[in-house]
Amino acid sequence: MTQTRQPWLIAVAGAALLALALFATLQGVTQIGAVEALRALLSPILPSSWSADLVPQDVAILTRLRLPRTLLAAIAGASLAAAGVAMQGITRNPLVSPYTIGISPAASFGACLAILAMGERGLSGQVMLVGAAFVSALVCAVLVLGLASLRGISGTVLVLAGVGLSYLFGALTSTLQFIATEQQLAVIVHWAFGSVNGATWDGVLVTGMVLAACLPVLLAQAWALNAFAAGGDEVAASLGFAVMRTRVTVTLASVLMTAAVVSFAGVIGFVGLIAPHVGRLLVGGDHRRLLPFAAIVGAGLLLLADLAGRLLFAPVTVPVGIVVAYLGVPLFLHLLLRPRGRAS
Amino acid sequence: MTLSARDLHLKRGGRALIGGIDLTLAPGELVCLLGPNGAGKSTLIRCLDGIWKPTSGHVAVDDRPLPSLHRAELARTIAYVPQHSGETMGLDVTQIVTLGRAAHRHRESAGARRALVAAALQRFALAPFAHRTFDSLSGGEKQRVLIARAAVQEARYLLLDEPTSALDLRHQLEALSQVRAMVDRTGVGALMAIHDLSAAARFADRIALMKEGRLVAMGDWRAILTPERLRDVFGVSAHVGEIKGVPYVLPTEVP
Amino acid sequence: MKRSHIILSLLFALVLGAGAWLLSRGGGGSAPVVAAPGAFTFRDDVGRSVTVSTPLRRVAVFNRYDVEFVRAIAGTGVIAGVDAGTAKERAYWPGMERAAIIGQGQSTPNYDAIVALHPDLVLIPRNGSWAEAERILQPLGIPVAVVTAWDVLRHEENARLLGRLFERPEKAEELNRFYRHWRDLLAERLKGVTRKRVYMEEVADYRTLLPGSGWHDMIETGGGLNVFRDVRLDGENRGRGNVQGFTVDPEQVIARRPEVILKLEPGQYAPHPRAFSRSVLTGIAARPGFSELPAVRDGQVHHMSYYLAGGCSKIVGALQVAKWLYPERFRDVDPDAVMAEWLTRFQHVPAPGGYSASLGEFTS
Repeated sequence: MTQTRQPWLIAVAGAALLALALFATLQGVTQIGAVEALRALLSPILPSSWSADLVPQDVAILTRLRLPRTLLAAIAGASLAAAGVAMQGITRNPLVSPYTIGISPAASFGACLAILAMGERGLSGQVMLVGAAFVSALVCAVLVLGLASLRGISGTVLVLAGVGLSYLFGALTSTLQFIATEQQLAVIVHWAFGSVNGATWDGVLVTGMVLAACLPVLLAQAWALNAFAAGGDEVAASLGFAVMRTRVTVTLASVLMTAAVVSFAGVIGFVGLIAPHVGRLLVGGDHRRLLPFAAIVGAGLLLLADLAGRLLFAPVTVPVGIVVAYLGVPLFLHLLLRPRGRAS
Repeated sequence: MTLSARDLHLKRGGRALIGGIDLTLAPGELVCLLGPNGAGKSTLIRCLDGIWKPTSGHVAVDDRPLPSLHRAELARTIAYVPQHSGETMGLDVTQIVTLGRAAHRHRESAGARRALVAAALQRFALAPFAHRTFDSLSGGEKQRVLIARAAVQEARYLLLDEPTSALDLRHQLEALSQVRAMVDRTGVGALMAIHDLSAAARFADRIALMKEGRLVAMGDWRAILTPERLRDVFGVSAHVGEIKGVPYVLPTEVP
Repeated sequence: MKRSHIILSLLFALVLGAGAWLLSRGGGGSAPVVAAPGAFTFRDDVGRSVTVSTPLRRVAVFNRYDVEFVRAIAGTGVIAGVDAGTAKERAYWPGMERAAIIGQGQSTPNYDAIVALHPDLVLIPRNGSWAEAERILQPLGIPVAVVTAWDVLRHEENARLLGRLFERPEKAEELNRFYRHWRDLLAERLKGVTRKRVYMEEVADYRTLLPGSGWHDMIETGGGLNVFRDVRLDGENRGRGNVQGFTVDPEQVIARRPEVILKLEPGQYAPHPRAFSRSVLTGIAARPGFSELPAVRDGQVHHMSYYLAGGCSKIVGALQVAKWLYPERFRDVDPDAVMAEWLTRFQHVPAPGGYSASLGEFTS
């Protein structure tokens, strides 16, 4: 099978993503025209005469309600996709993703634990939230990805172990629901399925900065990820890569991105599965190209899912995690059941 | 300037996989590593490339101890061709071969690298497959790609772990010829673990014979591959000889 | 990727962060609620201080109980938006067809819809996503108040607060008088009574309610003794549920020998079909070991729709419970009539009747 390798594909995808983001920001109960929206969004840096005639309420809706939501969806999608690509490369397993190997549910458990412990006010609380999610997710990652590096473990067994851990952390989170007070319960239930409904600039800032810091780290490991994908630990070592260091770096970056997303958007599954798959179909398996492209695909996917969730049953909003699951489960089954080459 | 192992031991899970191996590989020679399954051929190769650490003993590359070499420097000195296994997540042939330049990538421009890879693809008749995914190739083609990747590493030593086990007759011959050609043309020292005794006798400069983790004999094939030795190490009776200059080892029966 | 690329990317990250911070500060600005004449500051259910201009003219309300209270005190004209869970019961809310839908329920508000309404206040119970709503709506200048209408212990406070907010203190007092009358009657008539043991079950089999739940309060206000009132949520009990739904061992139910069994069923405005109640009740009576229970022997197994039970802070439900438990003390009280008064006088809808059924009606 040949793949398109034109570099312009990434540029086109990026432009499409921007257009989609703008379109998504315009959707909502209050009708706001595209030109007005652009003027409103650019108003902080434009001379005030340009934005003098804009309705302040509209501007507030755009910048405080819609834009954070759009951005959070895009950032979450990109983060989960990049983490998925990296984890799949390290484990040479296309079924691996932050959700399917239990890292997202584990992060959710950590976040819930933090909420029970301290309530969710203030930015320092946010940092602790992400920290708790990160630690919990790291424990799960060490278990699962450590398992992956054992010789003789088949790819399917790894995913099964991940599913088991998913259930475990899901059960742990459910247990927390029982000991939660009513107020805490309302917040915890939020995490069960992912949603960008409560997006604020705080969330966008934190997840955005994590993405902006971790994605370059992963890109720097692109060669190493190629080597892992090509032949696993031994081949990577023989080609000159520090295997342990790469594993640790990639795991830390992926888990941090996942933990940040889960802390603000809850558990969103399958993006880390679909986006890498689509990415490989369109631009191939070279991680230098796959990482940014899959990130764009993931961002677009989550934006579309959120749009669908908002528009299909308006004014009821279906959480984005639910919509994505409808797309992701059939793909997951397809990947699981298709005949593979010689098992890894 | 050699790749040498001295008194190499490796224990795993209480079992000794290799014991007391002394071996020297010089540039410009092709040494074939022979022995039954479980003799320790793969283990030895992994130790020589630093993939596994020996329990005791030393590996030296050009008189420098192996652990003293930086991973990337080691990759520029020793190239490893694994037994092919597993899916490669959508990488294409060019990308796989380009990985051979990984250890060189900080010292060269992208353009130079592309040219090198293109030349290697030409040399190994892989140009038509340049953008095909590795997983879609046949066994023989895949092996060619892995050898091309090793060639692109421009290392002084080449370690191959049973490169022909999964290949049909024609591709076996092709692969071995390619390795032989590489040794002759570029002067790399190659150590190749292989099952096919006749092929080993034909292509190797020297034979190293292993049994139960130990090196039992090393030298010219005529001296090593005698019927007595074969009975002892492989447990089979065999006819050994030459026809028109091509060696043969024909197993006859299990005594 | 070269080192310089990594540094460039981190710089890019910093620039992005600065940009995002800038954007978040600009554009519309934070719109604080201005104290105007007629401004009223109060403390809501979770202790937050909220300031609004009274009287409120348009509110967005979550949770059916909150909407009922607002309707009882201020009528449907002030209700600009409700949640989908409330609205789907169309027949119960005549005159509110034009109210906007502001989300599926109190956990997933549709902030876009809320903002488009320009409400004076958003009302949400304390088990809703009030913290998130505050975070999102406060910068947009829309105040959020946590009012938990389903909390029976706060009935009078909530009514008074709403009366003040909508400047209908006389309506609020009327509601409170109605409530107090029946509550005091219950307290008086139940004086000195030997409390009967009640096992109360919600929708799922063997799922009961514990102290802390409004339904538990309803039973006890009605003079019953929740047979599981002693259960503490600690140790291994933690895994079996919470106060709103706690799974118990069938053997425990039998061991505690309830004299009355009460099955709560989610209901809507229309009452349950009799056939359904019959199958539920006979099914309970047929459970292993239950035929020996005093409740089943005396036909004291009752089926009650949440709708009746919840009316007016569950006082109507408590009345019905009391009547079942001590019919001789409440001979002159007709819970159906009280329900009818609640519905017609305060909710402005006709009373269909027939919200409960008893085993005794189906077995002779």
